[in-house]
Order: sequence, then structure tokens, then C-alpha cells
Amino acid sequence: MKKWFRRFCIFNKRLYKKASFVAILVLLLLSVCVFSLTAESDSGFVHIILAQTNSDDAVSSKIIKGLIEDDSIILFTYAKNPESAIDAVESGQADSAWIFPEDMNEKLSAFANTKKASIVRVVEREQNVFLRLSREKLHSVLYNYSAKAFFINYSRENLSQLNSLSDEELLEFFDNAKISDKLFTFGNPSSANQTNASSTDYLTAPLRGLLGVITVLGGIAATMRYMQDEQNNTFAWVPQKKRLPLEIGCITVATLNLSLVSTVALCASGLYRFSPTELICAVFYAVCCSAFCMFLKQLFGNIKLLGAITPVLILIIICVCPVFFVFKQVATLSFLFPPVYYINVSHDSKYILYMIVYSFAFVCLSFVLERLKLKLGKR
Amino acid sequence: MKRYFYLQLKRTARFFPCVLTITVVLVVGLSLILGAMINNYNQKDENQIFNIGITGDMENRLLKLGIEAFKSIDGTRFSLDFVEMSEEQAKDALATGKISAYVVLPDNFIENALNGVVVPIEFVTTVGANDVITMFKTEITRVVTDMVIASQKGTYGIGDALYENGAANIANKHIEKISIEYFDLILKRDKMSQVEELGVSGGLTTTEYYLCSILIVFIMIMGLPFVCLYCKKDNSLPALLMSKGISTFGQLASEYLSHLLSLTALTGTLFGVAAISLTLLKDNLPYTISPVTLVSLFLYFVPVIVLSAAFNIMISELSGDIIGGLLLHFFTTFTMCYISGCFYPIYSFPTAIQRVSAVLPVGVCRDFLSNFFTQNNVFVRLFFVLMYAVLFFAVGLLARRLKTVRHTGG
Repeated sequence: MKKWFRRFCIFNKRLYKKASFVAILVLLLLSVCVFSLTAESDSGFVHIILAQTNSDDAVSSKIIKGLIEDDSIILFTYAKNPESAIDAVESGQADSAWIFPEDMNEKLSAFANTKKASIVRVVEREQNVFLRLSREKLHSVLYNYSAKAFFINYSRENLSQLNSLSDEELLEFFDNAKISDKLFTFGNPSSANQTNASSTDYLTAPLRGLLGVITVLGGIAATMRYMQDEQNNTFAWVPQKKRLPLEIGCITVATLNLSLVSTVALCASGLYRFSPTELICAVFYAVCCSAFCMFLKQLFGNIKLLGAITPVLILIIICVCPVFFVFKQVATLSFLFPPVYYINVSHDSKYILYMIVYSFAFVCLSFVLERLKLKLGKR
Repeated sequence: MKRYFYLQLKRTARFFPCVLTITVVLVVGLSLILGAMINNYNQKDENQIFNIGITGDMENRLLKLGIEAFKSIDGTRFSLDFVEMSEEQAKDALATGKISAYVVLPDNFIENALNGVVVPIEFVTTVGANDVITMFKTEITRVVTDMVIASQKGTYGIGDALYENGAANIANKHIEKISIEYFDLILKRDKMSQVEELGVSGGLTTTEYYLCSILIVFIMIMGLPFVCLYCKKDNSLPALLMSKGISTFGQLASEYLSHLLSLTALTGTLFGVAAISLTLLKDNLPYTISPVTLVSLFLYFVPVIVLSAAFNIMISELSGDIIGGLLLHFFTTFTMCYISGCFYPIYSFPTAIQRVSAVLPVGVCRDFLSNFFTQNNVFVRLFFVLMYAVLFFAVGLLARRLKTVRHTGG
């Protein structure tokens, strides 16, 4: 045990001697924490600008105030007049402008009567699914008022028994109707295996994936350095049978440092809760990345080739793995790369097992490739 | 110095074919990704359907009617589709991405709802916020909740009003009648807004925005292989060269120029391959750029290549070895690209981050490149791009000088 610990410290010394590596670890920690703090401030995946034709209209003012104060993935801002709202959309500062009419009550009654008359003018540069889903929010807000207007209209047209009641008295029945306001609860697809799921904001959601990719890149860099040392005969004194553990040691130390610091960064920033499971994930993920990098070393066998392939590989990993978005067409391909396990293990602990299987499979593949190359070399 | 420059050119040229081959593979990959993104935002976006599974008690006639009616709404059938399935099937479908979410209807949901008792529906999505439905899940469920509650208040409000005003005998009839009217009102809710599409006049389309972003990400990340080439573990050669009369500036300028030429050749080849591919496939693609436009875009792109080459040299000088160099390069590149809006639109970030990204090199490059499409004044942004290039070179030069002086013991 002492021997292993001493070797671990020696491998670490190789890394920590370089100020740039230490700087990276510190930068990782700081930037994740700073970013998660800044991400809490006002932002929205879609930017909608609100404007009133008549700024004295009480109903539209109330609706606009409610939308702006609402905590939502949609960012609402206010424009002084419809013209500046439209200018903002034209210049790309906002995705869409919602322009409220002069007399909201009149428009709401007209819609309640005819179910056709439009209420709000929506100005967009181009249609997309986010804006379509955002418009549903507008409809639901207007629907609340329309439902009341419809209630009054229906009573007046169909129920003479209620003619003695004023509009305000009628609306009291509407407002006081005893209805449960909780229609939905949110469930988790694997609640039985939930490990450390956290509520993810769209801005901070990619961080775990990006840190996973950095760990893979650290492993590739450690592999290239090991190959460089092999070329320079730095480890000539090491017996052949101990070269494999040496290789694993050199690469795993780099990936372990990076994955542990990533875990600390994610927990310190409050994005994930600290738990022994997260530590275990970090260790297994480091082994996973090392196995993947060892396979790459056997596959490419050359520092320059490995260096040349690195940007392609990193871009493929970022696109194929669910770091930013999920591309369903390539979901199966993502299981070839370690980050997918690191991303998914936060809400399904089964992925720790998959990491072990993955590491074992890739170490075996590397071993087989090495033997094949030796045999072909001997011939 | 000339001889050292030619030596650097030779050294880069030995590395170049390998990087070029990989780059062509990258072009094909990026084109596929770009094609998928263009399809997503242009064509497919109009018909993008998110499948939502429905599980649980589906026996009720009214529920089936409601779902069929919902599917037929003009506005909604282009966004959402409901698929009936068992809960086990729904879990598998969610895991494999066949559905974006599923809802679990409790037993006798409709019967209870008609009696004013709403048992909550479970809404299940993936946990990561990288799917549209997951990102919008709070909004979607709030929208549905608000409309259902408003409708129920109207429905039971009428009942309460009739009961309390001596018309209990007709209450049930009107409760049912008004609930159907509210249902009709919900189905016609999209008539509440009148949508005007301006079309693209000033500003960038989504495609142009992401084209600029992908080009920036590409040129920044292409520095990674060259970090292996230019990272120096020991400084004896620079010290020797300095003793032979080649100044630190001369050494670094030679390395920088050779790297710049190789990056430019690489990017030029990439644009050439893209021009040929676009010409051959123009009938099959929803969006094309003419070869002439591509050539203009390449010339416009050259200042960004100048900046990227200086950045790569600076990173190589600041880091002492391959591991630190690769990690530092990737970390700084991706952080800058992420917060400068290369992955998510820039306006989706908080104002503080938008202000920071506007002055970062990647943000400046993206603004400069976007001028190609918006035809705005380019010289101010060009000045900042070149200024950053000079700054990176200066920092690299300072780092090299300090290391060389330390090595010589001076």
C-alpha cells in the first residue's frame, strides 16, 4: 500500500511541477464557481420585448408587470412604445415583440364573444419552436382574462336567473370556485436509482459535460506526454512487464486529478450535492478516461497523429454526447465516449456499473491491439 | 533569421499533411452537423414534433376526445404529438430519446375532475436541461395548469352561482355546456395573437449566426494539434539561437509566421472543399452559399486566422509542456466560445456575461465575422481583432524572453 501511495505521489509530482497544470486546476475551480454565481442573474433562453399601445391601460400594465416579474426561462423586457419594440426585433436584440392594444378589456370581450378576434400583436423575425412554445405563455395569460369575460357573457346570454347580479358579483363566483391549483407534479425517469440529480438551469447544464470532456482531453495530453517520454527513453530502466502499470499510472493520475477537481468545482458551486457517490463516480470516471486514452494510443500509435485527431475527437464528443443538446440520431454512438457516462451518472447510479464495464472493455481492446501490433511487427 | 524561418516552415510542413487529412474529415463532420442544425432551424423546425407519451388511465371517452382534438389544432400539431403507451414503454422510450417526456394520468382522472377534484398528473422528463421539452417543462406545465384552472373556475363558478340563486335544477346542464365552450375556447386560443413575420432585414438569421459561431470554434480548436508542435519543455535551443544572433523576437516571429501560413493553408483548403461540396450538392441542400461568396468569406476570415495563430503561439509559450498546453488551450478556448455565444445565443446569457463576452477575443471575432452578413462598418471591429493578435504575440514574446533569460541564468 505504501509503495502504491509513493508511486502515486511521484506521478503527481511530475504533473504538479508544471505551473500550467496547477493553474488549470485552479482556473477550473474558480471559473465554475464564478459562472454558476453569474448564471443566477436575469437571463432567458428566449428574449421577448413587451410594449403597450396605451400605457394607461390597467389590464395590459398588470399583465406586463406579471410577465416581467415571473421567474421563467423566457426573458421579458419592456419597451417604451411599439416602434422601439419592433426595432429591437429587427436588429436582433429581441426574438419577438408582444404589442398590447389600446383597450384590452374591449379586445378580451370581443375574443370571448367571437373566439376569433385577435388581442395581441406578435412581431417576430423568423418562426421557430421556442417562440411557438413562448406564445403559449401569452395565450395562457390572456386566457385567464378571456375566461372571465366569457363567464360574464355566458351568464348574460343564457342565464336570466342571474341578471340581478352585477358583473362584480358574478366574478366573485368565478374567483371563489374551490379548485385545486396543483395539476402537475414532476417526476424523474429513474427515481429508484437517483444519485445526485440537481435542478439544472440551461446555462449551467452543460458544465458537467464540459468538465467531463476536459478530463478526456487531460487523459489524451497525458498519453501524448507518456509517448514522448517513451521516445526519449525516460522509462528505459523500467522492466517491460511493468510498463503497462506505468502507462496506466501516468495517464490515470492526470485524469484523476482533473475529475476530482471537477467534482469539487461542481459541488462547491452548488450545482451538485456532495456525496460519497460523487467521489466514487469521479474515481471510476478517471479510470474510464484512462482506458479510452490507452485505446487511442494503441489505435494511433503516434504523437503527431494523436495530436491531429484531438480537435476532431473533441468536437465529435461534444456533439455526440448530451453536453449542450441531445441529437437523437447519434444517441447510440455517444456510448463510445466516456463523457456520456459522467453526464448520466448524476441521475442514474447504474452508470457507475457501465463505467466499470466500459473501462474493462477498452483496456482489453488496447491489450488485444498491442498484441496484434507486436505479432504483425514480428512477421 | 531567414534560415530559421525556413526551418520552421519545413517543420510545420512535415506536420501539415496529417493535420490536413484530419481537417477534411472534420469538414465532412461539421458539414453534417451544420446540415442537421440548418434542417432543425429552417425546414424541420416548422414541423418539429415533440413526442409526449401518455400513460395511466386512458379509458375515459372525454380524455380520448380531448387528446384527438388537441392533436388537430393547427398551432399545436406542429409542435407536440401525444402517443399512448404503458409506463414501462414510456420509460424505455424516454431513455432512448423516442419521446421527450411522458405524463402519468391517475386512475379516474376525468371523473374526479368533473367533480372538481383534481388529482395531480405526473410529468416526467429527462433531468438534464438539454432538451427543448425539459427546458420548457415548467412553462408548458404552468400554461396547461393555468388554462385548466381558469376553465374550471368558470365551470364551477356557474354551478355555484346557479345553486345559490335558486336555479339548481339547471346547474348540471349549464356546467356541462360551459365546460364544452371553455374547451372550444382553449382550442381556439391561438387566435388571441396575430403573428407578423418581419423576415430578415438587418441582423443575422439563426443559420448565419451559427455559421459564424462554428467557423470561430473551428479555427480556435484547430490550434490544439499545433500546441504539441510548439510547446517547449526545455529552452536550450532558444538560448542557443539567441547566442547566435537570432533575437527572441526573430525566433518567435518565424514560428508565428510559419504557423500562420499553415493555418491559412488549412483554412483555405477547407473553404475549397466546402465550395466544391456545395456546388456538387446544391440541389439537395436547403441552404447554399455560392463559391464567390465563400471566397469573400475566406478573405474576410483572414484577420481571425491571424488572431488565432497569435493565440496558439501565446498558449504554447505560457505552458511548459504538452499536458498543460493542451488543457490550457482547450479550457480558454471553450470558455471563451461558450460565454461568447457560440453554443447558446448570446442574449440567453445574463447581462454581466454579455458585457464581458463583448470584449473577449472570441466575442470580438464573432462580431467582426457577422459584419460579413450584416454589411455593417467593419473597420472598428477589424482594429480590435488585430489589436488582440498583437497583444497575444506580445505576451508570447514576453514569456519566451523570460524563459530564455532564466535558462541562460541572466
